[in-house]
Amino acid sequence: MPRSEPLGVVVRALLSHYWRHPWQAVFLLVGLLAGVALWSAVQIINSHARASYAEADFVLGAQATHWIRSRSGAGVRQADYIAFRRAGFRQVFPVVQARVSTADNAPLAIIATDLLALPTGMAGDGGDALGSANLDWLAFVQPPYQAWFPASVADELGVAEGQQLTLRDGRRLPPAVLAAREQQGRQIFMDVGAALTLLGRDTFTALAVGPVSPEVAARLTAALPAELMLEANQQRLDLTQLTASLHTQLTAMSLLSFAVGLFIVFNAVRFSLWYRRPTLRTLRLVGVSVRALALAIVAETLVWSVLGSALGLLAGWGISHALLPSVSASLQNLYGAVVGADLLLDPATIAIAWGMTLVGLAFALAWPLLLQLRGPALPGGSASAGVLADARARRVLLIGAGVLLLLAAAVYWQMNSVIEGFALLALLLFAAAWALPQALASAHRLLGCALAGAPLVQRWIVSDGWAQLPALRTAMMALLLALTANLGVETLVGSFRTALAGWLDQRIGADIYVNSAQLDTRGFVADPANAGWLAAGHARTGVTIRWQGRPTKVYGLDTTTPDTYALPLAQAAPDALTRWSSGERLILANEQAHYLGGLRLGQTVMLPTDGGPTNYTVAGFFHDYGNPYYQFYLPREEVARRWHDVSSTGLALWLKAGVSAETAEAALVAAGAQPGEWFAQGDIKRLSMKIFDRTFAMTAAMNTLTLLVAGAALLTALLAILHERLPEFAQWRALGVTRRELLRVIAVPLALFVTLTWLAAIPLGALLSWLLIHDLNVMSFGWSMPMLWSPLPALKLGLLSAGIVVLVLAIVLSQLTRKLPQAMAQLGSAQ
Amino acid sequence: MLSFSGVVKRYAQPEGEVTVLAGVDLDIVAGEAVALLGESGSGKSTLLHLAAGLDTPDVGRIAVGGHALAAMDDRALAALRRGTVSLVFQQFHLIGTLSVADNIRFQAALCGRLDPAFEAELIERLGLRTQLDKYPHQLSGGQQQRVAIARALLHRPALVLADEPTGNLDERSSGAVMALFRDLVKAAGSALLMVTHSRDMADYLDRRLWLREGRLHDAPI
Amino acid sequence: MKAVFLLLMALLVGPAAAQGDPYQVLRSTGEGYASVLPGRAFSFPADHLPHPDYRIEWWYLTANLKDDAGRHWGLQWTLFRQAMSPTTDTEGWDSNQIWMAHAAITTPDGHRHEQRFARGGVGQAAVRLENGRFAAWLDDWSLTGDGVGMLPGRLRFTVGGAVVDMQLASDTPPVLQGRAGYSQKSAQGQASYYYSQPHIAVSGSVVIDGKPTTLTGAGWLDREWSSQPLADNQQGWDWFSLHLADGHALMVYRLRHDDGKHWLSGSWVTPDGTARTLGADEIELAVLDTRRVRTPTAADPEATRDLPLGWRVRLPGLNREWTVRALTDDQWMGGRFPYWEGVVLVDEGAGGVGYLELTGYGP
Repeated sequence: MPRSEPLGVVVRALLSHYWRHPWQAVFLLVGLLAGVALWSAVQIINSHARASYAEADFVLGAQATHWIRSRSGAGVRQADYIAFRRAGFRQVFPVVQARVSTADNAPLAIIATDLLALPTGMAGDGGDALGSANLDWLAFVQPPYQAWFPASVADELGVAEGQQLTLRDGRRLPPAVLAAREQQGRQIFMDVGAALTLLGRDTFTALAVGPVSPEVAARLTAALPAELMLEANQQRLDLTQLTASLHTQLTAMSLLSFAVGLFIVFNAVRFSLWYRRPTLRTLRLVGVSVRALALAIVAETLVWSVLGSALGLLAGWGISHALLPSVSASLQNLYGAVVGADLLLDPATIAIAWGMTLVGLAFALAWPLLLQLRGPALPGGSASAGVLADARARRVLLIGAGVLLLLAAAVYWQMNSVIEGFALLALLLFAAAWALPQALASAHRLLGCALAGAPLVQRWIVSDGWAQLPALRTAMMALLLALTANLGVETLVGSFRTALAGWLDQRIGADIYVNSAQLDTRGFVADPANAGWLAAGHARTGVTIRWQGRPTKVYGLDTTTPDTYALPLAQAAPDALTRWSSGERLILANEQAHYLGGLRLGQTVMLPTDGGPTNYTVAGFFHDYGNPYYQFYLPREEVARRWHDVSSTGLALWLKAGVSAETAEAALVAAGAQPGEWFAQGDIKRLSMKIFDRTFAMTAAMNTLTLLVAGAALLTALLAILHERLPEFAQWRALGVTRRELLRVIAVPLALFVTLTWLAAIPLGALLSWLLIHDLNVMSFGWSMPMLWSPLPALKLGLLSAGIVVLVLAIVLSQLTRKLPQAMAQLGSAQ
Repeated sequence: MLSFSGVVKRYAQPEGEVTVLAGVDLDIVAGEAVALLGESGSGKSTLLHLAAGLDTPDVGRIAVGGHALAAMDDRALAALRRGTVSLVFQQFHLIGTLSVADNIRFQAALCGRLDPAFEAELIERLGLRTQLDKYPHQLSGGQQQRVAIARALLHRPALVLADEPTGNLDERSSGAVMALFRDLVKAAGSALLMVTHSRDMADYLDRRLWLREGRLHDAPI
Repeated sequence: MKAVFLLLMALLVGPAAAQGDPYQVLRSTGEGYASVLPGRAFSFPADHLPHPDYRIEWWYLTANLKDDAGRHWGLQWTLFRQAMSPTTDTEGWDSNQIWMAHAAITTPDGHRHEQRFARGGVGQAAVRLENGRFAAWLDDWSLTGDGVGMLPGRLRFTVGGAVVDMQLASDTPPVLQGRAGYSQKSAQGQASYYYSQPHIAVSGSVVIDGKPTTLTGAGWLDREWSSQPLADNQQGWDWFSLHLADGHALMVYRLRHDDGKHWLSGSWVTPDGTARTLGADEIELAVLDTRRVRTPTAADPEATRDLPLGWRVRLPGLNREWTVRALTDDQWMGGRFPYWEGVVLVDEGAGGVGYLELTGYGP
């Protein structure tokens, strides 16, 4: 072929292969799609969440650069708000936020404001808050009002337009409208008047302050009544910091599925290479230069990368919509971060997806093709070459696994960030995956030896594993990754759930928990009128400070109550609680302060108090699951001594034996608390577990998807085996092998490999969960917990894998039945 | 042993339907060795496939050992191929994951007719004694074909169907293999129908038939 | 008749409807609300306070002022009340009352305007007696009386960065417009209760960019309430309030009808406050010049409109006529419902000053 021969002819000759074998094109695309789709879905969600954080200082479409809050936590009086407005501070608008629960204990967040007071738009352009949303705002601002449900929340709760959702305490929300405003997230939005009525309050949670000049801010500060304070809104900064770990985790999971997807690609490519050997040979023999072929291969790689990333992004776009509600739930439950519903596919995600696909294809497709080019044009004996190549590939992978393992060890000793933690996990997972083929081969060899005396047909069926192993190699690696990740995460979530439930049992010991701004909690406990039914009461106080640049709550605990002296501590100095109670300038900190804040037992911590910085010695760390913030416990008297504006942060009540909850509730109402401001012990626990389950819904979804991808890898591998070996199978049939025997030849080695892989995944999964629990979880969230290993998830996954194998075999068998007759008719015809 | 009567086989081709066999009548008695000659594409292989039950005729009756193939279901056909009919192809289709010894015994093991004495004789006469522990990919092409022959004969099938069994071998060794093949088929007591395009190879057998324009003839032209 | 109506209507029906027919709400029958009937007895200062049984109501103040250099200034300050339902639920967040306010200032250097909204019932906006004094406010925009009456009083607001603080006083009684305060708006019976204070002495200061300017002049206060003021075939109106050089005050308006047979009405007030209602046959209005004016709105920042900014006003019965022209074209109120309202000069300023309002002109 002369040099001027157009590249297009060569490319077409190469690509025509996929025309004749469309299933190979399908597998290649499925692999790329599976990998890119999950990865891009997570990227879309992450960038969307980050965009939402950037808007975190916006409230329902209006920027809030500052907050005005009550120093005591009692809320902001309406009269104070009106006074600000009448003094000309039109940037100030009221916000009511509350958490309530539905009749079946689903947590609901409520946000409310006065649309007419929102400082949106410019001077002379007020009232835009009304114009921007195409709504019947007349109905919104007057009875019976409206409750705006974001579509996803309405879906989950089964709330239909116009329906009035009933809360646990019997109160009813305004008629539902399926709509959402900016920054509403998963909150229910309603008019401030509706919210105050619903919650039985007469104060606002806070006043938000729109952008103000330093001069106005100074005037505003001067105009503040004594009990109110102005604070800068640091939500944006705080959220970005707090959620970093969660996003890293999501990214890690998506990269895992990208890797599993690449395994499918490797699989598909292996066979397209195998099939195209003759084509390449012919092209070279007719004089196409290696350079032209190389260019054609590059062109093919480009074609696939564009197709694969485009389809993958499209699918990712769809998946991200499906996953968004659970991620939003995680973010809102863990961090109170509000994430909107509009997703954006940004150019960076597209570029990276394409880049990753390209790199993946370069490794999987282009590199082996080019390697083949470099060899002689006429190949040696192909059968022996195949077996030898397989053994060689296994060896190379094993050596690679060793290298990865060494790297993992090196990372483990150095590791101190979440990203390094995931790098360690990736190294370990891939080391295991790469070592797997050799392990399977060795196990298979052992089995072969054990069967040495068995009947020939049995030995034949088992020995066929050697013929399948090269093709199943990558699928098994993908399966191992998926199973290990599943087991690891399952154990993590299970351990966490158990630890959380146990912790709740210990911590939520009181019968009733009250959170009421109106109630004088200490007075209530001390009131002799309540002595008849009240066994003990714990009125906690608290103050919010910033420690290490993060919002931090310092609680004042009553040192005499049952929950205080039974406080479960993760780490403690000897007699910590006794000494802490006796006022030795000791402080208790949550685990987050230890693991994330770097605080150690016995170390001195300096806190900003109203009297200036004050030092305390850390006497112990308490578990504080689910809290993203640092937290400290001091005796209540100490908090009152150091800070002026201490707010009441809740009241725990223990009832005397035989006293009904109604007695306590009646006393609470009499003392000024509103129905809905207290929770029974069981309700809090149920609510917490519900929030937990919602928070980890995303994890479960990702797990399932990864396993599905691994199943797809298995299917592609087996179909490839089928197509590659069809003439051989036909010949066997010609030798009198029955269809059942043939199926056994395919199924037994496969089952053997899957079983071995599953067995390998069990200890690996345990190792993974151990790392997740002892290192990554601690680094990400600052929570420690005991690891609870259970065989159940492994058994469940074993059954699931078996199900996948059976399904895949059924597909293969139907293909075999369909294609075998023709293959038999063509037997002996020279190919 | 093998009988065709009025067998017609047509294939759909892009240019239209092609009649490959236009009424073939054939009778091979037990122990008889017959060569089937004909030009490329004359339908020799089709005839062989029909005889093995790998394909079905459009018209006519085929019987092996007196049993009509048309009456057999998939299981019966498999049993037929297992014990009664052996196939030897140009491609040897040895089982790569089994040793030479296991490959030789494979079909006999399937139908449970192992015969150590005959096995020893086959191995001896085919010169495979030193190769028994090897795997197929370690053998030369000629050696692989000998293994395939041994595999096809060990269980003494009533009928051996061979399609250019020496097609992959060079001229010199193919003659020797052919002679050996013929002798071993006789030793096994099998009838043989062998497709070949080579008159030389055909001359090793008892009887020669020519397939031309879909019909069998006793002479070349 | 004031643009207020339309502003409230637009507020009520939302932006989509405003593209179509924003007048519809005002044409609705007002069923359930109190009706406007002739022969009502007015009582002051009680009638300065809100009448929540009626759907809409306003306190509407304009002032023509001069600085020390004799340059013309103008102020507009309006508070509108709207009941969203016929119930009289006026207190708390459940209140059915909504408030809107407009303010504008015409300075020798240009025109500034703002609009604001507030819920009723919670104290952010209201008209009521506070500590025994009349008070009307929305946020920090306020008109407070020295006593239970509106006047004498003090007007304070900020608009586009200009801080306005004016003392208001009047020694003439309120003028009951139409038939003893019953102001008919169409032949079909649409009407409002309407009284004015056309003779208000205004003095005070405007601070712009930290620079105070002392201003004095004459103000005009309109009070009007109704439940169904517009007829089906009325598209807009042209409304004049003039302080004539000889001490008389003149109010005339025409409600433009689809068929060109406009509804004309007005009143002639002597310097001592004696008023005479002018019938349709006593008023002649003619457009002298129409000019293309930049009329930006949030929806259409590039819009322009042809507006009649030069007029001949004739009262044949009194044998008087004047030319009335805009002080400057740029007095556009580009708020949620846009209209033109601004300072006009009578006979080039020699005959007096006043305010002109033009509504219902499309881009």
